Amino acid sequence: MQRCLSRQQETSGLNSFVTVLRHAAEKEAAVAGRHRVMKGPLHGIPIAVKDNFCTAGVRTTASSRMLANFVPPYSATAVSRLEASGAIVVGKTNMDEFGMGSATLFSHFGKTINPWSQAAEEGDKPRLAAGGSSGGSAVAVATGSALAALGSDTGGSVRQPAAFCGLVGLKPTYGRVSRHGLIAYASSLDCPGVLTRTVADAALVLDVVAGRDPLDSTCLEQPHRPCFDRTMEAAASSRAAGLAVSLRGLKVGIPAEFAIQELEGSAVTAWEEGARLLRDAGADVLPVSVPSIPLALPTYFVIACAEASSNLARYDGIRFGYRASRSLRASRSKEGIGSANTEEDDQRALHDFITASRSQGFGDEVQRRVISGCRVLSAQAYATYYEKALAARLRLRREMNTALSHVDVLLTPVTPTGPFPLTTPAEPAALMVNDVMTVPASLAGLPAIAVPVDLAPSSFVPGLPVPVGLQLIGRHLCEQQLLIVARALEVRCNFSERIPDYVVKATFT
Amino acid sequence: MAAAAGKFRAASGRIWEACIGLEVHAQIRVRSKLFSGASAQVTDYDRPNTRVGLLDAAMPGTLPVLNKEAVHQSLRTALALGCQIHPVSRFERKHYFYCDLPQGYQITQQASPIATGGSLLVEPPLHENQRQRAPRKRNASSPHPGLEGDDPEEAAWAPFRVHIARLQIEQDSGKSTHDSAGGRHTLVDLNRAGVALMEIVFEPELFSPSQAAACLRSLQATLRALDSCDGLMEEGSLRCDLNVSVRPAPPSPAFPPGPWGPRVEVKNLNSLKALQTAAAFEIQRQIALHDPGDAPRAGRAGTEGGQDLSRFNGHFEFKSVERETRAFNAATGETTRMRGKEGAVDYRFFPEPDLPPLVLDMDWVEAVRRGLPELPQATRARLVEEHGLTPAQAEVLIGEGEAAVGFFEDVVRGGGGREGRGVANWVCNDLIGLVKAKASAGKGGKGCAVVASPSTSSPALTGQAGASPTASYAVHPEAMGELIDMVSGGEISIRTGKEVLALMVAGGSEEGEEGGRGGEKRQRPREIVAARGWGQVSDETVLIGVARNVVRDPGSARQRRQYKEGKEKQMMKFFVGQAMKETGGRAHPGRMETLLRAELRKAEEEEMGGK
Repeated sequence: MQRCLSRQQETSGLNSFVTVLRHAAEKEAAVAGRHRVMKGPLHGIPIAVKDNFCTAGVRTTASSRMLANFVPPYSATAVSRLEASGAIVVGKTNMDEFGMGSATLFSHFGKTINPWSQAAEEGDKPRLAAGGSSGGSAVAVATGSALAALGSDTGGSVRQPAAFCGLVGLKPTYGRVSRHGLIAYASSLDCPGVLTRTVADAALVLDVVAGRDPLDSTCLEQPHRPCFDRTMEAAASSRAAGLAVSLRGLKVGIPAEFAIQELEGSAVTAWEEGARLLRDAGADVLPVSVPSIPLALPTYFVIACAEASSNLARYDGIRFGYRASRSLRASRSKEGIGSANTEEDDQRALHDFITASRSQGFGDEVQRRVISGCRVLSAQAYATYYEKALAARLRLRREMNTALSHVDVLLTPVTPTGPFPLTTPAEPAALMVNDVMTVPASLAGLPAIAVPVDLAPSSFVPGLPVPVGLQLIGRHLCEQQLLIVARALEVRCNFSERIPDYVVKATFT
Repeated sequence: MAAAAGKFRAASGRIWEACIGLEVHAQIRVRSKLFSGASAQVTDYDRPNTRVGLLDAAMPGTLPVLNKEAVHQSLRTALALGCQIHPVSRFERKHYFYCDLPQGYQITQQASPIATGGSLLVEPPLHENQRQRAPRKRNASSPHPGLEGDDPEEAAWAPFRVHIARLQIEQDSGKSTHDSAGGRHTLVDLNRAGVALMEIVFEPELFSPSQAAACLRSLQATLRALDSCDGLMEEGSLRCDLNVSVRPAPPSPAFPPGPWGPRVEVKNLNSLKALQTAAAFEIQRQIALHDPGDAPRAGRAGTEGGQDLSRFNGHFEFKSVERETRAFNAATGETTRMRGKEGAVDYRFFPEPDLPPLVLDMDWVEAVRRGLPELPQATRARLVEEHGLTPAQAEVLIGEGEAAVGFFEDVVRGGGGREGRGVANWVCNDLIGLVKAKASAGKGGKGCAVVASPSTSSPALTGQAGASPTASYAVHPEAMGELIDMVSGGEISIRTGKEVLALMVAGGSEEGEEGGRGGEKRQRPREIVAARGWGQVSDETVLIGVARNVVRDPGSARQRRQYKEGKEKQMMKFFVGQAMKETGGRAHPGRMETLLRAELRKAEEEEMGGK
């Protein structure tokens, strides 16, 4: 714990935390240390929590000015389960505002810096983005400030920063982990996820947070099949047989449509290498087709923005959150004290007030997405955008499931490029392309995991090695199998041995 | 069985028709709110913002969890209204910004509600003078029978069925109060936010204000019989919006009617009277706008005969009336403009992603259908036909709810040969009034938050509002039966009977409130009568003595003389009264009269003999 807290302090320049809970964490660690009986499998483990999970009594901002002073009176189910299993929350991590972004650039609390760019000793080399929106969580784990972190994945927000920071990022099946207490971005896509250094850790944390929750009606009823033991068992039995994890009998699909133009050479190489490693482990590697992949990104944006515009409607400055200085009172009395305000005048004054609060409280990217969302849900655009997006989503889901009826898992890159510099012109459309590999699993609600497999020279900062990850997509609720394959890939890549010292100075036991 | 069209006269003399549709919001009677688990037992007397769950305040991260009992109650209502039940329905979000709508949207069912179709039987109201008779005959001499404007009382119309477009489940909003002093603040109370509502939309098949009111009254009775809504309009648990349009009536049935004019919506109607007044006002307002008329013709008798047929082409050109939403002001009885068509909001409906589709197990639906209670119209028919009640008595009982009807039937069945109409008289005329008076006095006395005003009809016969039919009665049916038997058997007079009943009601609840088994400790009527010596004096010798004393009283010599002189009837009343005074009201009036007559005759004979 002490090591994590000091790492947290040493790396504060990376801006991975919005709120640090040093004092509380120390106290809890002391209590945990005195206890003979383990509270649960995460007893005493320092964990970072993305700042869009509500934590009772601890400020939860979603990195928005709107919620800069919001202290929720309750804790998210995922957080409560972590704490019940003995984990200690060391802080709340930075993110793109309300999860809207792919780089943790759009935060009211500043950008988060990727620790892999720290090697650039010459000061003028550009710093790299941590990925997003769970960038703070990724950096917290990558620097050793926490052993695991809770993130949320709407269109790749766990997998993409994991890949950028050389971590394992797991997005379970939609509905496997309760969303209760997760500040909503796009309800039908939002999925609590886990960022860890190893696949086994991800399985361990997943086992703690997964399972049905009466407080989330979209949470699945089926009992969670524990993953950690099975993952370790598979590894152990293979080791006993003198092998790395064996995947004999497993079919891995390579969806051709993921080989897009924007894909960097290093990503292609890693993809091919990953396929070869899985084949070496005994798996059959087959080409598969998911023809609707090109529709995934626009479909994702229509649905995500539509839901965001609705979910963020509650931030009106009335009950909590940021309130514009030009108050309701001011704009009402402007109409003239004592004058008989008509219903329509009152409406206008109220709307001015709400508009002011929202314009000042939300950042640009959030406003962009909310406005887009309102547009696609408007009476004129509903049929041409929203309904079409729903149909496309259904088609994509069907195609993904069909592909997964022929094979057990899909293997794809996580991102088309490695981590880009913070100074990348914030051209919204260009940033969105980052999500192209990750949104299909989100739209289909399937479990997916990013596993770091290789190092490659950055295409943005010459000479700087950066991590490359691969994504595995599994069948509905088949996290167990997904993690076994991920573990096999991890063992064969031996990525952890290749992390340079400057990324993680702390050692782990 | 469509409704008869109401007719309205414009200032020009032209006859118009009106078309009315109702949209009703009924608060579902369930313990907790639709999605939050917070208490839904909200009254106007609760402190603001004390019945608010995290979801109701739209706390970030909270998610809705559907209240199954609210679905059950909506399903019962939909089944009772003969709606088609949809095995799969969906929730949607309806967006608009307002300070009492915390989420920025209302969760409702727009595209696929739980039920559609169905209908409701609407019956004409019972007027004092026609309660025991069939509806009045129509005025056959008028070309427009039942012209509303001509008849201060309602035009008669036959019962008909109004169709239901849809029944959907949705959340209520909170309440905002605009500070009237200078309009500086708006106060928001979220107690009601998130409370479960059924929205019931009727087809625009009502053609007069009285039909509209009767429709709502019928719905209210149905909801109360089902106990799916308490139907208290004044408290807002049943609210009604109205839409009205008008058109010129065809001069004769040979002309096809033209299209209806622009539809105007009127919101916030919180009583049957408000509904009827608003509908009448709105009809007249619209007609006056369409058809200002020539002043000289207005009011002249028989103008409809001189109506310019050439001007009726079936496609009257509507002007002046804007398609708008108006509010009703109960104080003035008028409607005022809220917003026009251009103020209409795009609600941006879309499927609620936080809730899976609502899937109903059709076996369960059938089980619920089988478990439905009898509906008021069936109950009324049974009470009238089986028990011989007047329609008015039946209406009072039904208006008091299932418990009252059950109580009545328990009393009738409890003893051999109790006559239904007599029992109903006791229950409707005496018991209900006593229980209500006590309930309101009790609440006032405690000085606590009053829940129901005495005028509202909360179930009066049960211990408290909201008690189930099996809850303890204020008076036990057996005791009530015993009392009725005592009166009809001549053991006590009606007057004494009423006093005994008052004591029974007064004594009943004090014990009832303390222990659930209070019913057994209550005094039976016979015990009360015995304890207070109120039994009718039936000993002939005592009664003869009373008669003699009364007749021979020197003070009543004048009355004796008048009796003799032929004012028999009046003077007999006097003597009976005197006898009652003497016996403390315990003499049987009929018996007493006979004895008095005999005694008077005797006295007369004696006087004659004395002379």
